[in-house]
Amino acid sequence: MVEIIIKTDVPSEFKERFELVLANLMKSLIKELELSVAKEIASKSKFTEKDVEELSNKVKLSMNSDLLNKGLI
Amino acid sequence: MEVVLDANVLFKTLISSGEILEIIFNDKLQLLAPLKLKQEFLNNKQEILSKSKLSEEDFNLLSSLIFSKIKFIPLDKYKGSLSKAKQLLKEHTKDEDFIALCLSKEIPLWTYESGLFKTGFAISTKQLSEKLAKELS
Repeated sequence: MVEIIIKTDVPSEFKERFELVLANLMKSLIKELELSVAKEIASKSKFTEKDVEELSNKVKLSMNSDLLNKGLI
Repeated sequence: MEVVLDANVLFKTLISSGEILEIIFNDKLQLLAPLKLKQEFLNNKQEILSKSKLSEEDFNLLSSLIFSKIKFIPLDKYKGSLSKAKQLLKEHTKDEDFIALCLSKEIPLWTYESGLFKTGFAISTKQLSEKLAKELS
């Protein structure tokens, strides 16, 4: 993680309100940024429906085998 | 709203044109999944990289963004529901972790596995999307 510091001047009587609005704005901005990065990466993927089915089945069978080995099912 | 995320939904993020990612990033939704799913997903990293043709850097970033939206639950927290899940599932013997977590939290499973809809615990992407839209309105 890196820290970005933005400095600005606001009237002192608006300080608390400004901080609240800025916090909400930053939260929303970060969410939009994360989503757009995720979409951009996913759009480059060559994964197929067949791959999804094969790998999710493989993962689930391994999880099931783990439960069997632990004697939980 | 809380739902358990099935493995097939997690893998579908790798072919998502946006709909699944939009839901995953929706603030109104809390996603839960067995901790083992995260471990298994990462155990298959090389196969995912080979099939998706994504760079390792892209894969690491995408998985970390998606994982940050999921609360991973250790087996100890839901193992008490495993036997009931097994009874419910009958022939779907590979889904015990997911259904046991649903049972322990009394929440649905977001899945693409058609057979799981018979258990009464499954919710489709379309149904989930509609529920979230109603919560917003």
